[in-house]
Formats: sequence, C-alpha cells, structure tokens
Amino acid sequence: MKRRIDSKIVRGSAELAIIALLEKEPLYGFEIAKRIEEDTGGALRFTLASLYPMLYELERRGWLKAQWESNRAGRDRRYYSLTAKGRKRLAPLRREWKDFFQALNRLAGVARA
Amino acid sequence: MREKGTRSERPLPEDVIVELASHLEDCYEELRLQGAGEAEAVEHVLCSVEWQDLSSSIYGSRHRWCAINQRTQQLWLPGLVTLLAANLLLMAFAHASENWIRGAGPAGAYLLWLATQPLIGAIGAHLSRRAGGLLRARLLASLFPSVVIVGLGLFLVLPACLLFESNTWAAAHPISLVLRGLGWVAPAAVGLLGGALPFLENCGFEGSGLSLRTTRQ
Repeated sequence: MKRRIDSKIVRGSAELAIIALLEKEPLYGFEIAKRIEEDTGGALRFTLASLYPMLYELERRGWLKAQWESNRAGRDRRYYSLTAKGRKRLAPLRREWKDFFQALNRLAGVARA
Repeated sequence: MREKGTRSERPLPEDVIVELASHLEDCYEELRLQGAGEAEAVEHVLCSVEWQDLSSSIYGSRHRWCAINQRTQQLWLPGLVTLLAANLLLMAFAHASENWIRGAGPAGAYLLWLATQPLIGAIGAHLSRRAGGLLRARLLASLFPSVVIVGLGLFLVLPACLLFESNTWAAAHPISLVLRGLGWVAPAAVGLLGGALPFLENCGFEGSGLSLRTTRQ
C-alpha cells in the first residue's frame, strides 16, 4: 500500500513538473529533463526510463502534442508542447498539489522543517 | 530523416528509437563537455539505462490495456504455472510412492519433489523475464508456490486449527506449528530460488519514475 501511495505521488508530481514547464515553451525531452533538474536545484531528476514513458503517456492522453523540428545544429528533435486539454488540466493539478502540501503542512509542519 | 512538423497521437516505434538515441547523444555530449573521456562517457551513458525497464515502461505508456496485462504476464501467469507445476508434481510423486515405488513413502516422495523445485523456479523466472519482468516479479513468480503455501498456512490453516478444530496441540504450540510448516516449505523455497538465480541477472527493481534526491547543504 505504501509503495502505491509513493508511486502515485511521484507520478503526479512528475506530470505537474512536465506540463508546468511546457506551459512556457515547447521543449524536447533532454531539455525537459535538464530544465527540471536545474530549476529544482537537482532535487528532482528524470532518468531516460522515467521521462519518455511519461511523455508518451501524456501525449496519448492528449495533454501534450509532439512535433519533429530541426535545431540550429541540424539535429532532429521531437518538441513537446501543451495542448488545450493539457492547459486545462494544469490549474486543477496545481490546486490539488497546493491542497496536498497544505494538508501535509498542517499535519507534519513541513514548512517549519 | 524525420518528417518535420508532423505530429501524431502517439509516437511510431522509429520515432521512439530516434528520440531516445538523440537523448543519449545529448547526455554523452554533456558528459564530454564536463571533461569525461570518450570511453568513460559512452560507458556512463549506456550503463545509466535499464533497457528492459525502459522497454516495458514505453510499451506500457503507449498501450492503455498494457499496465494490467503486463503484471499478468510478468507475475500472475508465471506464478500460476509454477504453483500448478509444483502441486501437480507433488501429487504425482505422492501417488507414485503409494502405488509404484514400494518403500519410498512420503519422505521419498517429498525428496523427489524437492529435486524438481529448481526446474520449476527456473521456469517461473524465465517466463517472467521473457515477459519483461524485473527482479521482484521474477523472484515472486519463481517463489510463488512457497509464498502461497506460507500464506495459506498462516492465514487459513493455522487460524482454522486454532478456532474451528479446537486443536489443543496447535493451540498450545502455535510457534512450533509455524516452524514445522516453514521447515517443510523452506527447502522447497531454496530449491525454487536456486533454479531462478540464473534468470535474475541484469535486472533492476521497479523504478518509480522521477527520482527525488535529498541533499544536505
């Protein structure tokens, strides 16, 4: 049971991290992983095996769309951007996580740690 | 060459290959920029990927039904095969010892059955591995007969002895009863595990996706 809760939390946070990042601009997979790691000071980190299955899952759900583009160096990149459906999910997800952290804070005093 | 500007509801297999290869190239280039040698960077990039985990995760993410189906193929089916095989063999040996092998007795049947456990464990782990199962699934699939017997003993037989049969010996010696049961199951579990060992290499535990690193400043 504990493991299930863990993985659900981690999965949910990963979804939010990705779609919140793509709200600003389209990015390709490596950039997404790098930006998440940089923006969280290295606290959150995607591996290859965790990032792409998540991206494909979000793409299948219709939250993201992907498009092949060439960058300046001529390399093909699959850029992910947020769809209208994904944009709609962002606000409720943010609210859910805010509520979750507030509840956890009330219970465990996370903010005082 | 990819067709620019094209998009689909889910990536084609060749898209996945090109995209992952490109990601690995980026990782390699970054390591090189950080001063890693060519061989070191290649090794680091290739070793950082659990290919089987990656393959099954990607497959699962592209197919809605796959999450349930995957667990069935990696754990429940191999587990049921090992459970069925172990029980059928035990029945067969018990029957043979009674009818055909005079003087063998229950102990002989049990020893013969024990000798087959590595093969059963190997079959379970192999079936799970073939379906892309990771270490935990392979272990559980191969040890399934022992796990089921322990579970049945602890949660069905022991309470039944104590509550319904009013078994005075069991009521007086519950720990001894459990130990006797384990003494019967443990050798079989060791045999199953022994058979599974060659199939447990090169696999990791299920990853939960995003990793959270906590650092103390």
